[in-house]
Amino acid sequence: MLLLNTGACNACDIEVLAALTPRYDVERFGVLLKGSPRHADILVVTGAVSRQIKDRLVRVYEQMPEPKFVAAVGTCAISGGVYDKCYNVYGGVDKILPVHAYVSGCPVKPEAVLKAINALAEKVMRGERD
Amino acid sequence: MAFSLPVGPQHPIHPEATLIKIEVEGEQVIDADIDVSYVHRGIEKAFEYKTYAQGLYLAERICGICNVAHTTCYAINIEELAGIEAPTRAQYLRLIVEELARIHSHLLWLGLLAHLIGFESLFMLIFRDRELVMDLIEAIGGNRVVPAYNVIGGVRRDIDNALAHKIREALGSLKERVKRYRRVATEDPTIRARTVGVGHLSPSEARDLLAVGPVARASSIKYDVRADDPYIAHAEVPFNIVVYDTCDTWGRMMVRIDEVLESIDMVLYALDHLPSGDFRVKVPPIFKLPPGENVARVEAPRGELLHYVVSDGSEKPYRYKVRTPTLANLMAVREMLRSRGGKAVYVADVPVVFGSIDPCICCTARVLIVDERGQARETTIDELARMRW
Amino acid sequence: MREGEIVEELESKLGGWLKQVRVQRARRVFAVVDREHYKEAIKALVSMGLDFLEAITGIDAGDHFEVIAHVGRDISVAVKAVVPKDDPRIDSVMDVFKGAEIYERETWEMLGIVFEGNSRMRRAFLPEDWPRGVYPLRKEFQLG
Repeated sequence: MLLLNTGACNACDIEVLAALTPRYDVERFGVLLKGSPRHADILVVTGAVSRQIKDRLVRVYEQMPEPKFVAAVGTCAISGGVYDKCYNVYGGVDKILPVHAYVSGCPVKPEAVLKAINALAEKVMRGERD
Repeated sequence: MAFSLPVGPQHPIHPEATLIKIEVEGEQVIDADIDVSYVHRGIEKAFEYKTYAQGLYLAERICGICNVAHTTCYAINIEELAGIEAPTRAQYLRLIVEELARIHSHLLWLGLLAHLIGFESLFMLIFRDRELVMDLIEAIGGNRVVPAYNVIGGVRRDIDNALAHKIREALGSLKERVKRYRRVATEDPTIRARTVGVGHLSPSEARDLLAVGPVARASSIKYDVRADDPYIAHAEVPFNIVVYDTCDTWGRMMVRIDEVLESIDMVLYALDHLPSGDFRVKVPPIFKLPPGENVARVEAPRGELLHYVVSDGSEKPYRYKVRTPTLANLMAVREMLRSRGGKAVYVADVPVVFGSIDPCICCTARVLIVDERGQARETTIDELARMRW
Repeated sequence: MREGEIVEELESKLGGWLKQVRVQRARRVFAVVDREHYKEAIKALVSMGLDFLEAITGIDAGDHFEVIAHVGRDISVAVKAVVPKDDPRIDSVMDVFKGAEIYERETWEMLGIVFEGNSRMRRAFLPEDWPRGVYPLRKEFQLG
């Protein structure tokens, strides 16, 4: 999985980070955090998508090989959250990319992140496509 | 000879904003710039459209990690202007949660520093211990990272004896773990090699560049809002301002570790001296603030946080200004990244130096490196850190 | 130096250029100075030992702008200057504090107030393709 923060307060990022650590441990589901889109099957997006980062979000998605899935993590990534109508944000990942999992919460809980990533990982392993 | 390439938005490699841009000669960084535009959300404008109660939830999300500092600052700002006095029990409860938030934030930072240095096992251990604090915050406020504990007029929930006992127990074991981490930080040769003398910021630079928090306190500046401009229960709960004079990343690390130990003692003291009485005064959901202005400051984990409000007598602010500590430290870290005065900064040090200000930005933040031939390449903080292992 | 002493010093150093000053509560002083002596007021505070600039706030106050320099460590002194909308300039204080750069850039891009003497003026938070002449913190800019 690849994590991208598109203009968030970081609370969701810390909880995604917590999902990597011993108590929650996403690795036991066979999921690893990667640094490059070319090695990722799942794109985990936090944040409301700021104007500046939108092109990069699209570019990262395009660089990922098929099959690929997107998880919108946190209320901001789903709908813009508290930044709804703010002048510098698009307000939701699905305004830019197809989204396969919506994880709500402000911030999300690590368990919810695990559930979503696990579900998407299973799709990858079953060879499903978008 | 240095080669200067304009790294503007039309650069072929990056049409979008890059966080850190460095110019290098060989492996030495000779110039640096920081761009924070990709996280800008236009929050100050949004405040003008919210009632004061709604604004609290917006303030809470300026920074997810420092959310307690923001709600504390916002609540006292509005309360002062409105003439609302939160009960003393509430002020102690606010302090307890504020210090627990400081502990979790500093431990998060320490874990990330360990990760940047390549000390993955230490990162995992610290994060596991940090979970003790997350459990406490959740037990007190109902949520882990963002407990929404502060309200205008006090706090949302009380801490009873059973919970106080839980807190004391957890902090007792945490204290021993943190003392162990302190020993590691002081003695481990790898950690020392990557932090001692790295990211130099002299006291006069810290002053001139307006650094705050642990960054300033590691460069001998003895200033902490909790002592110098006490708020909530800080005038009554004793603590030591932690100052180091090493002016480097190691000093910033030691300031934060020692602050965790101070915070643990402060929470225990506050629990032992918790005044009786209400924890909240009732405030109507929508209310008008008398016309006027106010400044509120708190010591967030990253340093001094300032909120400024202008009221025109209506139920929404005319202007709400927020100056976060990371912004205050931005000019300082830019200077720290430059080799100067005989102190070289190497490309491989960039993640640790930048990380030493505890920026509210994730490790996927991008770095653009331009060398003396004008060649540019892009990487991330994480990848740069890995290069060094 | 205590609040009362700060007020006295400001009055004696600035005289008629100090339009208003009040102590709102312990450690909170609010002063209004005329635009031409804004930097001088800040320097006066620095010489009194208030050797720190916390922030610079810009405000669209309707028929004029206001620039406020928040100066001080334990005591916070807000130094406000009125800036006319038809001539939106004020002195940069970067030669007093190099770190003022980021606060002046922010105030310029949000309100269009020019800080004379700031040689590093450019965007701080808004994207490069943000339309010229559109200043989000001006009251005429409305959120949808």
